[in-house]
Amino acid sequence: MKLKSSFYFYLSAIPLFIFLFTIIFITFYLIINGYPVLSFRFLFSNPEEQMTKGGIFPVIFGSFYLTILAFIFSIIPSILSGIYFAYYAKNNILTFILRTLIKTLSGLPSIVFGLFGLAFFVRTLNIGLSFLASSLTLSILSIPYLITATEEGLLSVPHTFYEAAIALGVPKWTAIRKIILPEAKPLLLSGIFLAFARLIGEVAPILFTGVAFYLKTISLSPFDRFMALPYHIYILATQHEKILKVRTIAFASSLVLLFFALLFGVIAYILRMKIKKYY
Amino acid sequence: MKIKIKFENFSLWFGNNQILKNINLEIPEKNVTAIMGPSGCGKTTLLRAINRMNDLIPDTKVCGKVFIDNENIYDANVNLLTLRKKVGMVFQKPNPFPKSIYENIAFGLKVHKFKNIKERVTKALIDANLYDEVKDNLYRSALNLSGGQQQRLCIARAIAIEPEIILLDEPASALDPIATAKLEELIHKLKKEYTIVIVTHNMQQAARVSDYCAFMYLGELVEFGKTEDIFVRPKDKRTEDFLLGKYG
Ligand SMILES: Nc1ncnc2c1ncn2[C@@H]1O[C@H](COP(=O)(O)OP(=O)(O)OP(=O)(O)O)[C@@H](O)[C@H]1O
Ligand SMILES: [Mg+2]
Repeated sequence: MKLKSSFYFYLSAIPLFIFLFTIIFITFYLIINGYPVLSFRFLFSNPEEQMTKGGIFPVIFGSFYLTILAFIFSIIPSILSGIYFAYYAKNNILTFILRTLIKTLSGLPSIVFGLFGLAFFVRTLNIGLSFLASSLTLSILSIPYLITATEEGLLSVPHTFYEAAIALGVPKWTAIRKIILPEAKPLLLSGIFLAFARLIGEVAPILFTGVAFYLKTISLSPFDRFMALPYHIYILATQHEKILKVRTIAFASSLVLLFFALLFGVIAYILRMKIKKYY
Repeated sequence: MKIKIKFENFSLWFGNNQILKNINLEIPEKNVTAIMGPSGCGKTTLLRAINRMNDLIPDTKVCGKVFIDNENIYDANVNLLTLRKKVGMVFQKPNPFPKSIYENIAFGLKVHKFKNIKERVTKALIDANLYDEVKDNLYRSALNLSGGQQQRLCIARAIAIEPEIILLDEPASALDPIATAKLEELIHKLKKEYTIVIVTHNMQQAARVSDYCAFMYLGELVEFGKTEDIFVRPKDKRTEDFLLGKYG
């Protein structure tokens, strides 16, 4: 009996070990190959000599600027929609259609969002290839996910708190804002950081909407083009004319990207651990 | 004696299930009225009909009227916020907000724009017989209180905003005998100022705390009268069976 259950324990643990091993392997591989160029200077200086030397500061800057802009555009509509679905939507055909649309949207390949961004933001709204067009595209990509995360966060707060507030004659919106939202906050933030972790690695949505191969200087204007980590890695790995020469830089950039994605993931995880058990 | 709450041919459905069947009931002011009956007979639903909390449940349908001070609270133009300020409720399971003891009471006061919040919080805690136990920990989380203390905090939260009616849904179901005794003492004190409707499973408790008693069975109001009459001379066979413990 004992033997049998430990057999199943090891059987079920095998995929986990394979998974862990893969992650550790990739990380070490990147560290070993990227380490030679990785330094403080690498992170904070501009690329030099057709990107065969120097650092990747504009690339990191671009990725962060982009993610923050996308966050600014998506956060308010997502939270409001999440509140709507959790507390206002009636159980009717309209709600069903909306939910189905959101599910479908969150399952779409990101290249579709990229094409949409090109057609709508870049061309129709005539924003041009820019931070703005790319971050709007990214926000469209993340909104369905954030709506779902908000709704789950709100619904994780016991309904009894809501009822208690309503029974005191507190207006519905006040009850949600003052009682439910503060309790749901760790879970909401966790969802937001997971969205960050995904957004910072997306290439397809920015590919046709503003990311640039190489720029001499960084620009703070949202109407300018930019460089970004995942695209930078892609071009260094496949498009650069001196591929072998820039390989180390590609590995180091990948390591930086992996670090940020992991960082956001870990923050999300820590926030999730902070969720209270009420009863 | 003045009638505070009056049910008139009141029925309620959740979806297709009729939960309350043509209820007629007159609840007198500044008395304790107990509602008894076997599990699932609709006691909580009847209580929640008085502050329209059933409205939160999707697919609820009502027919008939409920008057509070001669105003039909199911009229289309009734302000639910005013109604619920006037009718306080304490739930079956203690449900303080996940905030400090102070903030639990101050929240309702702030929303209803009371002045002198601090004094009112203290007064509510004193009135709910809780002040002495928590006065040094007002800013600690309410979730750390014991079950009985949480229940009294919920009562303090309800009476702080000066309601006229207090609905208590099995307030003692999770309490030990000492906490229950404290609570009953509190109910006794509160009825001087408030009209109290209390749902209880416990017949001895109903006998101890209530002036009037209603007995419900499968959504119907079977019997209503002075508590001593109901306990001594029940008119209906079902009430008698219930009092003899035949419904378990
Ligand atoms: N949210 C709901 N949706 C649908 N039906 C419900 C809901 N709440 C209660 N009911 C049904 O209404 C009926 C009466 O429930 P109610 O809670 O009023 O009973 P009760 O007398 O308070 O019982 P108890 O003593 O167990 O608390 C039950 O049959 C129950 O299944
Ligand atoms: Mg009940």
